Amino acid sequence: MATPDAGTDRWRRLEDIFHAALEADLSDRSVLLSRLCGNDAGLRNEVESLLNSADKTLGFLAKPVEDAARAVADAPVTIGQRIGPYQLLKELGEGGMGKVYLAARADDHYQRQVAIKVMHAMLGASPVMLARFRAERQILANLDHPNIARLLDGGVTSGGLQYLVMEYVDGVTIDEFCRRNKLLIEPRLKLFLAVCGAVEYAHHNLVIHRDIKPANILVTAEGVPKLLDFGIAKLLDADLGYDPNARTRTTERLMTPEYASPEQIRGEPITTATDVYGLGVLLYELLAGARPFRVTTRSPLEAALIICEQQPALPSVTGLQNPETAPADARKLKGELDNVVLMAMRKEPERRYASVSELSADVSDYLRGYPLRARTDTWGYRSAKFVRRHKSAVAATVALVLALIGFSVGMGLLAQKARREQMIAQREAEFLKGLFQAAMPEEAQGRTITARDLLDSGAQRVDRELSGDPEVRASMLESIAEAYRSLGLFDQAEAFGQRSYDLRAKTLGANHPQLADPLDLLASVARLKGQYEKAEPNFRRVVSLRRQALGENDLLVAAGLGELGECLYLEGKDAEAEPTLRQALAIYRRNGPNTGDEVRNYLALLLERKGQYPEATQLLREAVEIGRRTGVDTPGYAISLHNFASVLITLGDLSGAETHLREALAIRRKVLGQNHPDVYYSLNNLGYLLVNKGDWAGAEPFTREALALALRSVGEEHPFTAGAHNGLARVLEAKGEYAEAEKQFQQALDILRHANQGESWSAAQISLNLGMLETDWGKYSQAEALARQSVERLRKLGGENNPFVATALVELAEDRILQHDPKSAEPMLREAVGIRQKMFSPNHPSVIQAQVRLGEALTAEGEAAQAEPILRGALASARTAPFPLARWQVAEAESALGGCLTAMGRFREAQELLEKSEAGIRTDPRPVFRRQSEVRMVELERSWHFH
Amino acid sequence: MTPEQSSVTRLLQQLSGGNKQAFDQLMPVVYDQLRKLAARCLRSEAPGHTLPATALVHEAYLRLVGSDIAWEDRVHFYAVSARVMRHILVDHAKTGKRQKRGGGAEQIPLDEAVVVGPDAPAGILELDEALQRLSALDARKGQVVEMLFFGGMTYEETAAALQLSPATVHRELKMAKAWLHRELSQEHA
Repeated sequence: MATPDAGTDRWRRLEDIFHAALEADLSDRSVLLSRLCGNDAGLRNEVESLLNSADKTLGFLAKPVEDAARAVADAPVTIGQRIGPYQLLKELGEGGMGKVYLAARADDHYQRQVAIKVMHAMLGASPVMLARFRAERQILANLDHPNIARLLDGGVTSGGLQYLVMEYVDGVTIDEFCRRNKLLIEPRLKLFLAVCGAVEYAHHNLVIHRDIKPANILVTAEGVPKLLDFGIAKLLDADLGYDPNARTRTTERLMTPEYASPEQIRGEPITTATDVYGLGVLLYELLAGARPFRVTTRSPLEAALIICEQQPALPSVTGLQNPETAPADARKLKGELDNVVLMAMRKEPERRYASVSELSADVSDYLRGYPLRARTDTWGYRSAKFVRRHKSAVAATVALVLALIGFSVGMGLLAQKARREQMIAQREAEFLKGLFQAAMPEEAQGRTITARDLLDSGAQRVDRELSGDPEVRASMLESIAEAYRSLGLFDQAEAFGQRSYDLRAKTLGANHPQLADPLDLLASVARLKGQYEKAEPNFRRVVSLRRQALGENDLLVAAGLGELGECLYLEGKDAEAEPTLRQALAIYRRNGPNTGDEVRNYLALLLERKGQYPEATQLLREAVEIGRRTGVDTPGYAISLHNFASVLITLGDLSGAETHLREALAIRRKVLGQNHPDVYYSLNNLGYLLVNKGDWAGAEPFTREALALALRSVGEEHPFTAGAHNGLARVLEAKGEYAEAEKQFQQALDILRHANQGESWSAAQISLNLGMLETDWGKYSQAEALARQSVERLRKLGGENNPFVATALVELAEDRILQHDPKSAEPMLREAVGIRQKMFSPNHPSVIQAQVRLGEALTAEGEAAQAEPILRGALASARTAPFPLARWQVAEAESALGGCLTAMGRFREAQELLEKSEAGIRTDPRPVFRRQSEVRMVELERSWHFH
Repeated sequence: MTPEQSSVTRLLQQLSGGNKQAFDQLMPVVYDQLRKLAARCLRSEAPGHTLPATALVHEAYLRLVGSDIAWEDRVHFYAVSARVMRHILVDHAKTGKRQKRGGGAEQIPLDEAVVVGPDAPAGILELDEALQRLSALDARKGQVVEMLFFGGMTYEETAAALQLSPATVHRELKMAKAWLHRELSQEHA
């Protein structure tokens, strides 16, 4: 056994050798170790194992500490702890607002057991809040009812957490009780009535429960139901009331949105009607054996839509589908009990039972065989409601309806007899009514009817019911095609569009102006499918047909020109697209201030490619304004928001962009539904932005969703999907998953090549991204080759002074620096700085970045004195930029300056900067620059040590 | 300054004056505050964000002491907090382990999140144990790790607390990390 002294000596030796080995060059290490360790193989092994570990230690210590800290925060109390006079015995379960423990009084020798619920939420130390809390507790403590678990006491733990002491109820939840005892309808109703009694009593004492659900109702072995958590939701809201921003968080705090009432979701005032709704849902579950709504999504917006818009299936139907949990006599539910449940669960509070006593009266009446209050909704009322409720899903159907109505008006182009119009209108109405009737809840047997279902059935009926009438049929076919298109179902849209076109061509002739409409539709579907060569000639025909029929200044001509311009832009034929779009814009401008937002969008995108940002920004601003004036819940407005955000990103206003992108995404999800390709655009851009902010963890779900969506809706071959692969690749790159990222970039490029877009802008950009990945991966010569290629291609596509060329140059320069040739990097970086300075203001992030790289190159060349002013200038610009730079961008500048100062021997200053930059650099989406920070730290130490 | 704050200040001054008893008296106060803060932090964090030890300690400092106190005393506070923080985290993890075996409570033991591999992070209990062994070999390195990682102190502050230069702190840390990493990887090999 070694003596302590020998141990310490050996340790010191180990230390000295360790550090010496680290400072030496890798190639000299082995020799050095032989020299210093001599014959001591054990010592050498130890040093080597330490050196091996030394390379891998980035971040490994921080994580366990943070994880542990999190866990502490998660578990506010521990078993065995004393809270007031009680001692916690065991955990009973977890509710939405906190954990529940079994406890007993320590001085009572654990005779009387209670349940203690410890809240997650922390109240501030404000005396007002505490007083309010105490007052509410008093009200609740006075609720004395056989079916309510009594609140005994309450307080605040030493850790600052609220707790409530309640009567301990030894039982199972009410739904479990019904299941275990295989109760029939009648005994379930009797249990339910007891619960209603409790809620009624509470309402008389001005207390609303707000959280009625089976988990909050326990039934003892004797069959006595007890309602728990009474008014606790109301207690919690007490602290929300003081924080206006917390309003929106209510939805997030609801652990089980399936039980929330529509008004709770919408943040509207809670009344006793909310408890009626809750009782309705409870009754549903007790009678049908399953919850009325299944919310499996994590998106609060989707959950809200389901609760607020979707009609539940009839309890009688659900009951038959759940024989395990529903009462055995569930078939008796049909009719009256169905109505009772549905009435209690109406979406509008004012349409439910006016009070709990009315609800329980109906249930009692049912048990006694008397007629009930609840009535079936009339058809008329419900159909209007149906449309309103499904407004988000039925955008297409509305289009259909309007198209049909408008159809009669549009027919004015041809001479029509009044009688014929009337007949057509009548047939339309019949047809529509038939469509809606088919979608009635009873017929639907509880499925959710989507717009698509409506369309599909409509499409079938067109042929069956309107066969004798080519004009009507052609118009209907077109409307249906349009509706499919707006749902993103392009193949169906094309099929119906073609039929409409063929029919009209047959009846009106091939050059008739009315052919413009179906042609337009076909062309736009082709464009949406990415088949630009097919779309372009059709758009041209549309424009010429409309010019012929309507003259130069008609809005329809403008629309046609706009679409042609859009198509040309997507094909990359910018030179022709620009004048076309400008023509369209001129016509729109002549026609008033509320049109032409689409055209402005395309023109702006085009100008952005040329680097003409001021005009592009102005056009998009106008487009957003138009959208706000003409209707915010429209896809068009979302497009303008989205593109505006895009240009803001380029200008450096990341937070402005983020706001608009999120708004656009929300609108798109709401109006177009989750599976619409446009939602993909928003997801992709939001992902891109978040990566640029340095939050690639936040970006990942968006980019993955975008990819899944693209694959689902347009498939693996579509250019959009290439964009999604690109987005995901950047996230993977930031995470350091290089092989995966490379695969994604390659896939993107493959897709574009197969779609004949191998030489497009997108392909060039993705290729550059791939080059950046190779740099991050450490494959510098491959990276360099790609970067060089990109410089060439982007120069060809966009001209000498294109900002994308600058990006490629910067990357190329970086590769040179990393291959220890900073001298060749210098002129490239100067060129990049020049290009960017021409395009942007001096404190634009991309200008600053180029300057930082230049400073780094000069430092690496040994010209730190030259580098210093440049880097200081860059840092100053970063601090005075009009839009705050991302943390990592500032950190890169600080780190570079730190490296420069190290080279000049100003170690203390350098250390300050490097330490400052550490946190920000961790959020740098480029791993290669994250590594540089470590390297600079080591260099600083090394230089300082030898100083 | 509140009465509570002034007594903590006094304790800190005594501590920096070399009074070891002050340390014992400070511990419970700090402990309590840190637990409160930890619980509060969780509910306002967006999901996915980790809880930085640094923020907690600095906040605790502000609450207990206020901002205008001699820098050296503040550094001592952080050093104490670092020790306390480590204690809280390890203590909690141990309790978690006990409970899992016994009463049916559903706590997830912290060290079950371990991924096997040479670069894998260890759980807090293994880290603590390894750190104790390191401290037995070299007390100063153990303190450096404790202050930097549990207390969230900066290099400057750690240097001041231990009366070293920041460069030495860097150097100490480098070896300490390498040693700990090696020890912890071996356990999982």
